[in-house]
Amino acid sequence: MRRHVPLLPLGIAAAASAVLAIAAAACSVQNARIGISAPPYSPQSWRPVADYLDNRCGTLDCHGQIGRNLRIYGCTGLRLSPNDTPATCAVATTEAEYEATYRSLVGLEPQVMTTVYTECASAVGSGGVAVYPPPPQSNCHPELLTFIRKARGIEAHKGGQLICTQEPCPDGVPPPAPLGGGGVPVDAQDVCLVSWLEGATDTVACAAAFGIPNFPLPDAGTE
Amino acid sequence: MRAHGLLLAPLLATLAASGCYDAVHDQEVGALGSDPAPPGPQHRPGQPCLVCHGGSGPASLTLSTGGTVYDTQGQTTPSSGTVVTIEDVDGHFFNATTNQVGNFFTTQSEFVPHFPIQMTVTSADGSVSQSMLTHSSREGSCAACHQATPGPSSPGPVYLNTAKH
Repeated sequence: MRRHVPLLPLGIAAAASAVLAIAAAACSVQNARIGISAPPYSPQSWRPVADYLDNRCGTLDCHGQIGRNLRIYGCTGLRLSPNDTPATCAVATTEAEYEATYRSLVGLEPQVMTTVYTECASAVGSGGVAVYPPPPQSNCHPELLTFIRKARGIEAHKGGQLICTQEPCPDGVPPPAPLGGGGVPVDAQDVCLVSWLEGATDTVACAAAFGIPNFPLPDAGTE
Repeated sequence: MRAHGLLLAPLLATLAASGCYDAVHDQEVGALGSDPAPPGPQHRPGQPCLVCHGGSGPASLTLSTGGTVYDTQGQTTPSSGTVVTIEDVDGHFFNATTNQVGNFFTTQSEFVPHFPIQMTVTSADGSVSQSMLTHSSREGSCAACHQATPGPSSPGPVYLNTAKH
């Protein structure tokens, strides 16, 4: 008597094995090949940038929202831990939050970030000091990154233009001004971001950028 | 030919209707639930005013800002008579006063702030004042961020007096 072998379970098992094998192969290939060349993560280079981004872009009604592609964490906005709350900074921005914001930003456009960082890193001057604007021969083009284009107002941004590198500037966006009381007028926010992309964060520029937006003393013009 | 026309009419009507349909907005409005109070300045305290009053309906009155202020952190007693100062990035400001349920609002005809904005709440007698620690980049509804329960994405309701521990 011939034994009947059920084909359906065998087929399912074979298909499952094949899927697992393909998935495993795909993962190993991805892990081996995909990487992002980006400005290094370190407290010295990243925290000044992240603190500026948290204050300027990471409010709870903008990039301090879980559904955003560019997701910014920090003590004034979105918190990573379910036990922390925003605004008061009673619990300062945690290392995990700095890392989460970093990953979100560099992972937005990994290939473009790699290109921009590779080329902008060559713009760093002697002594490891960032050069702003990057010299033409460095081929450093931060505007290839969407977040730079949106902030500069080159590309549509629901939050509007936030950086103004050249006057005339829109209302509410500070015009370029000399940094530290001297030199050519620049937008501190742009210097902060570009210097980070060069791998040599200008902490003076980031500290100045942290004060934006600044609310002038109320006038009597509206009420 | 007539049969084709009969088939086409409902299709066109559906397409026309869908052109005005904003599923996200409808979902936001629906999430607010039913309103036990009649529409007016005292309805829906603690809810994001501009979901309905932001220009996309269903409310006809369009507001630029709106919210609810509570008397003490962690409690639900409204703070009435509190002055809410809304200041925009150009330095323009507007003072609104909260009503019996703690609600305040500014209409589009009264004040259109240039975002970002900051707010300060001051008691009626001027003795207590709380200023917003951050700013709103583009949201006019306080409750969009200041939700009923504090959590990782909300500091909790707007209050006048800090809770005493």
